[in-house]
Amino acid sequence: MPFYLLWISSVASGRRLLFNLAKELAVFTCVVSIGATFVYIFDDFLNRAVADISLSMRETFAELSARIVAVICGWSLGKFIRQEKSNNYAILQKRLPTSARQRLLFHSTRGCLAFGIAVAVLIICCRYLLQISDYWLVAVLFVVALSISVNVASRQPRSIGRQRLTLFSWRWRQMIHGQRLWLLIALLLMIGCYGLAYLGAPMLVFAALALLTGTIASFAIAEQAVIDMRFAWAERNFAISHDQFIRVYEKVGICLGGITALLFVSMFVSSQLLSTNQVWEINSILKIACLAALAPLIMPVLLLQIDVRRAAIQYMIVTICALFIGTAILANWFGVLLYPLLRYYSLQMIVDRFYRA
Amino acid sequence: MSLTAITKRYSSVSDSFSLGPIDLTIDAGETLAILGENGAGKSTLFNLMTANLDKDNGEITLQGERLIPENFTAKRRFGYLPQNLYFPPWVSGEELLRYAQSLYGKGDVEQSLTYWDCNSYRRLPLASCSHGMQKRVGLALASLHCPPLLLLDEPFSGLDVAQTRTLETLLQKRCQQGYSNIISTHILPYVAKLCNRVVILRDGILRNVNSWQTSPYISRIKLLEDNFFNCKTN
Repeated sequence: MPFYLLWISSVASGRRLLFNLAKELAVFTCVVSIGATFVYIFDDFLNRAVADISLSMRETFAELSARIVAVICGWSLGKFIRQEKSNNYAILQKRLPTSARQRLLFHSTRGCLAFGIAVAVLIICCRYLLQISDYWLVAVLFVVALSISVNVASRQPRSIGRQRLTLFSWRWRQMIHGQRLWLLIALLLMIGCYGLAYLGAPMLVFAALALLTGTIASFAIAEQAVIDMRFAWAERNFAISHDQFIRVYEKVGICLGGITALLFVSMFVSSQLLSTNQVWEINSILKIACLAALAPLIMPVLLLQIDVRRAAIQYMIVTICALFIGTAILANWFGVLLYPLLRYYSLQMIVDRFYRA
Repeated sequence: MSLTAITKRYSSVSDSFSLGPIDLTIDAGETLAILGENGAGKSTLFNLMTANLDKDNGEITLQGERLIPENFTAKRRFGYLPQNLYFPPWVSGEELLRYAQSLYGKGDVEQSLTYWDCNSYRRLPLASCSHGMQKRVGLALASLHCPPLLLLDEPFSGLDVAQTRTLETLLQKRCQQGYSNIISTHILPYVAKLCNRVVILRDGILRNVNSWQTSPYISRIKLLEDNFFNCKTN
């Protein structure tokens, strides 16, 4: 069944492409015409202006432009893949009497195919056309993965903008007031880190402490979710959707993770400014900031996986996942790619659970 | 609101429960009481009617619109008071109503707090309020946006005499304005006084209480009791 659906969805994609071919060609022709007209009109001016710029600056500008183009391409590609996953066949497949294993197989095969082909094309373009470095290639791949995992709903009620702010401030305020214990422990750990920074402790200690601080701070999110799920009867009546619920928690996670990461960065910067014998590598500082923000970022997508009403389960899951991804990031920057991967598959597994939990 | 062939079935190793098929229509300006034994499935039925619970089969429509969990428009058309209330402990009644007002996009918080006499404890954390006080906040929350349909599960439990009178007045006023109410209660005098129609839930099926509207108030309680026990022996 999954392979049959995969086949008919591929055929449908091809048909859709053919169906829109005339429109796409018309758009392409218009864009090329406008671009060509612009170049024709300003050709002399551009040549003269470019000639005045020094060679090194021209190279820097070209490099910068290539990176920006690569990032934009990465984002657009991710968006394309994201939209592809939500077409009618994926929805149809949900309604068919398929097992969880078959569903997973269908989504995995489909996702891997779309991702593999699109990313291969992107890599070739980036390497040989834009000629960007390997580090930037990794960054672009990260952008692709991030763009896939960001779920932007297109059809939402009009008052949703205001709703988002209300939902966020409601949870954020409750968390700050009600979950002070975990936040205080995280803060105390961070103060301890400040002391260690002046004493010149090895980087690995900071990495472990950053991970621990982030994990403890994320426990506040888990505790808040327990309260929210008991209050879900009211929020369901306000027609808060599952996506809104997850998204608002992600925002809380981003804010909490961002604050934790910023505090760690400020710790390194201040210790370097105040103590002359302390020199921290930017690469290490960034890695530790990532580790500090990791647990609050992954907590929202893990919340509804097993039992949101039991905070202890969330503590265990987030600790294991943060340890796994954190170690990977510490070993290599490629580890960052695990986050969007985890987010994507976690969100796939918890569809509509706000109404079923 | 219209329920068509609604069914819900739970089963576990030790227990099984089945509700439906249920067909029910609530007209405008009607107050309907749902009676039944403890565990008959009244709260389950309320949860199905508010789309808080997935039904197995059937369809629920509210003013012609299908009621599904994320239908914002349909959900704004009813207010719900569950039997077991839970509020976030550190939140005050006022904050809760303002939150609801912001999400509904309508409703008068001040008026609602005054109507349900919550002004004296409006800024107190709800965890420190009594059951009755919380119930009043719950009623204020359910009726905040003046919904066309009010679903109240055991609304009279925990209310003092004055607040019971307030609730009675509200239900009667809503009926006159053409709004509908569905209540579930075990207190028969309130049913006799307030309701235009009564149904009894027994073995997962709803049975109408016949000749209810033609009966005078004094004989209604007897009628209810007879119907209730008849249902039980049948």
